[in-house]
Amino acid sequence: MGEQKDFSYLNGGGRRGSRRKVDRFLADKSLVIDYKDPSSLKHFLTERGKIVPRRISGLCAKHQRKVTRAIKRARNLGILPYVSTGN
Amino acid sequence: MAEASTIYREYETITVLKPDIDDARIIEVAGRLRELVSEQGGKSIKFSNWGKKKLTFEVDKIQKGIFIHHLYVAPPKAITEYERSLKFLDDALLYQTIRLKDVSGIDAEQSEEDQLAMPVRENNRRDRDNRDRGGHEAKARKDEKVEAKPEANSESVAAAEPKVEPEAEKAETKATEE
Repeated sequence: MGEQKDFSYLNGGGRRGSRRKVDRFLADKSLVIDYKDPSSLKHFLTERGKIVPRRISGLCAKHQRKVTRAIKRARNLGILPYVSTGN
Repeated sequence: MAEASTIYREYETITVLKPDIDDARIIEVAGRLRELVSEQGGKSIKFSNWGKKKLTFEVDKIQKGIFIHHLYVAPPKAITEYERSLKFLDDALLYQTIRLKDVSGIDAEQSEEDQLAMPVRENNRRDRDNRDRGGHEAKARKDEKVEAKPEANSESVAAAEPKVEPEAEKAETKATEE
């Protein structure tokens, strides 16, 4: 009687750590998403060459779509890999 | 009846050519593509050569390619013919055309100077494909140094010898005088 129950387990598993990332293209307006520049797009690929999801990259929806389109164009030309071995 | 105005758009096409072709052939290909654009009612703005780069996947068992970038203004119907000609070009491995923007007319953009010369790589450390694998070149240089040392010794011996001869000649001349 009168005991307070602990409902903290309902808080989504107690997600800790990473705060909301800032969209780098909104923070710096001079950055351009260009499929011809693989060095800037490499940050959005995993070790295996997969496109990083938006919840990890922290981009807004518009920039995520642009980055995805640029990566796919670069892959078509052999500038970026489809699959990499993760060396 | 009003005449339909021609739409002009700015496009860029990146073509990957085979790595073993020479500069003259690149200029020939660039000239042919430029002619094609002008035949279709367009105008070339700039041609640039990015040089030889390694591809992330091999095409026809070829690992590298020469990237050339063509910026031009043309009506949309020109692209079909342009890509068709690239398809039949034996030296072209890959190509891709991207639409950039709509322009008001063919003279909306000014032509720029072409850069068709193969770019020179300043940083040789990045030239990983030409690196000395297994240290053969370093070993060859070392062997040359080792061979050069005995030759230097023989040269010093040869330099010492003439000193002996003049003295012998002097002794002989003295003997004859006496």
